[in-house]
Formats: sequence, C-alpha cells, structure tokens
Amino acid sequence: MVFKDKVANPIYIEISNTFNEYFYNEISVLPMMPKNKIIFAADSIQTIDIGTDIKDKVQVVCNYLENLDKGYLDELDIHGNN
Amino acid sequence: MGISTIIQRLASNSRMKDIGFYISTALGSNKHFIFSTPTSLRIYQYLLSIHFSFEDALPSSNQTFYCTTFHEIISFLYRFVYCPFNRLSSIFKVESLSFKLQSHLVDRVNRLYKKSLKAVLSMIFCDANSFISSQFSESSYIYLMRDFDILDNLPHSHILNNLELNVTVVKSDDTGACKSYWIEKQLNTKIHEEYVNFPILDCFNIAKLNEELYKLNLHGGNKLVHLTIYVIIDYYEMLDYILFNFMILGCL
Repeated sequence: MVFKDKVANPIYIEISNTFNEYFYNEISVLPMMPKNKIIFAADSIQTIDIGTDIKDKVQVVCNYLENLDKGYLDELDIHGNN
Repeated sequence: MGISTIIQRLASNSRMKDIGFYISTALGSNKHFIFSTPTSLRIYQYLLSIHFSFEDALPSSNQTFYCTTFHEIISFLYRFVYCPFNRLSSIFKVESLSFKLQSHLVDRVNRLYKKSLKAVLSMIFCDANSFISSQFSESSYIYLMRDFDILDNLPHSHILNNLELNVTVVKSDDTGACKSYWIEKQLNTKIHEEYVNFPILDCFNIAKLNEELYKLNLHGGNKLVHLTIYVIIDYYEMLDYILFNFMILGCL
C-alpha cells in the first residue's frame, strides 16, 4: 500500500532508554528524524501531576518510600491500590 | 577565523560529508554501481543520500527494494529496466539472499547491461566479502565501491528537516522519565479524535502491525499515534525497514 501523501497524523515514537543510547542508534531510521524530544528524568519528576487520592499509584509508591525512609514499614499498614 | 569556522569549511568540502555527492561526482557517466557498507546501521542514510544526489528527491517505494524471492528480483529488475524515466533504483541487503538467488541476480544484471542500459541501478550490501560482492567485482558493467564506514553521520539531515515529517522521536536520559506521560499530554481533545498506542515488543507480529497501521487511515490528521518501542533483540532490521517505509517512503 502506498500513501498518496505523507502521513498527516502526528506520530510519536517512544524509544526505550538504554546505556549510551545503544538501542536508539541501532534502529538507523530514528536518528534521521529531524524532530527529537529528549526528556530529562530530573525535570519530569518535578512537573509530574500527583493525584490527591490515597489509592493513586504514585501516592502508594510515595507513601511506601516515605515510610521506608522513616523505618515505619514494620509498624504501619500502608495503603495499597486495591 | 575561529576553529569552528575552519572545521565547518573543511567539513563542507570533504568528500566524507555526503556519500551520494561523492558517488555522483566520482562515477560521472558510468552510473551503475554497487555500494558496500560494513554495517547495516547506515543503509537507509546512504540510500537517501544517493537518491538526493542523483535525483534531488526522496526515493519512492517502487525505487527501493528489499528482495526476498526470485520473482521479486525479476519483477523489480524489469520494472527498473522498462521505467520510461531512467530513474535510479536501489536494491539493498542482497547478501541475505540465498546463493542461488544471488547468482540469478548477477546473471540478470549482467545480461541487462549488455543491452546498454541508461537507467541507474545501485545495490547496497552490508558485507563487502559476500558471495555477490565477489561475483560483481569481475563484472565490467558494475563499479564496486566499498569501505565507507568513515563517512559523516547524517549528511542528509538538512534535507529531512524540510520534509515536514510529522514524526517526533521521544527519548530520555534515564528510565522512568515519564516519556509515555509526556506523549499522552500532547493529546489535544479539540484536534485529535483518537489516541492510538502500539507497543512493539520482542514478540511483535509484523503483519499485525502493518495491518493495524493500514486500518488507521492516517491521512485524516485527527489521530495521535504513539509507537512504543521496547528493547527488542530479534527484529532490529525488520523494524528498521518498516519504520523507513512508513515514515519516509510513506508506504506499508
């Protein structure tokens, strides 16, 4: 099948993170694409929208990590996502 | 004059800048050539560079071919021979064919060139020591070029910039950097009617992916397509081929 025109819809190709961008360079078409978006983990964590619901996945993980830091895990029941 | 200016000038005059430019000037009127690269990583970059140098245009889907059977080779060669515009045609990855098919290809190409063809044929290999490479090295019709691993990385990037491809590659500096989340945030409900996500895993089905992309009817401009490529081991080359066809040649 041949398209008459180039694809009009926006296409986002998400590529898994690997050491030294090995996987990104291995698929040779990807470095040829003019539009590249690099997401820095440190920035995106600052802007992530964490819901206020106690059963939210991010809340559950944060809750767990906080209690792990404080050493309360053996004493408290942590809210799970269920 | 700053060092960066000197480097830029050297790079712009260097033959290493653009393989297509180098080939088109080196060959002159003798335009039948085989091009061999030691790695498969840059096949599509070289292909684009060669096509831009000879024709100043993107290759179309019927000019580039990844042959797997005898009938495909024959149909491609005849299409190439009887094309009224003498366009450049390329076959790549020919060394992955069986010995029998490679012999057939050598035989057919030599026979066609005895009829003093004017069309331009390029063939691209990954392996300079392959059987077909040695066969063509004895041919007087074909100019064999090899060892271009020192070439510049992206000679054609300025051309692709002007193509207005609506494709964005999203990568991150670390795992868990919210790439998917960022892409989902690009969904504008006023413009996009639908959000489509294709996960590509190690067990992905090529035919299924083709079928799904075909069904999408991607010309409406009202869908946001999200391809997630996880770390895969087995299908690098096929995925590379599908993405090249889909994004640059515009076909499936």
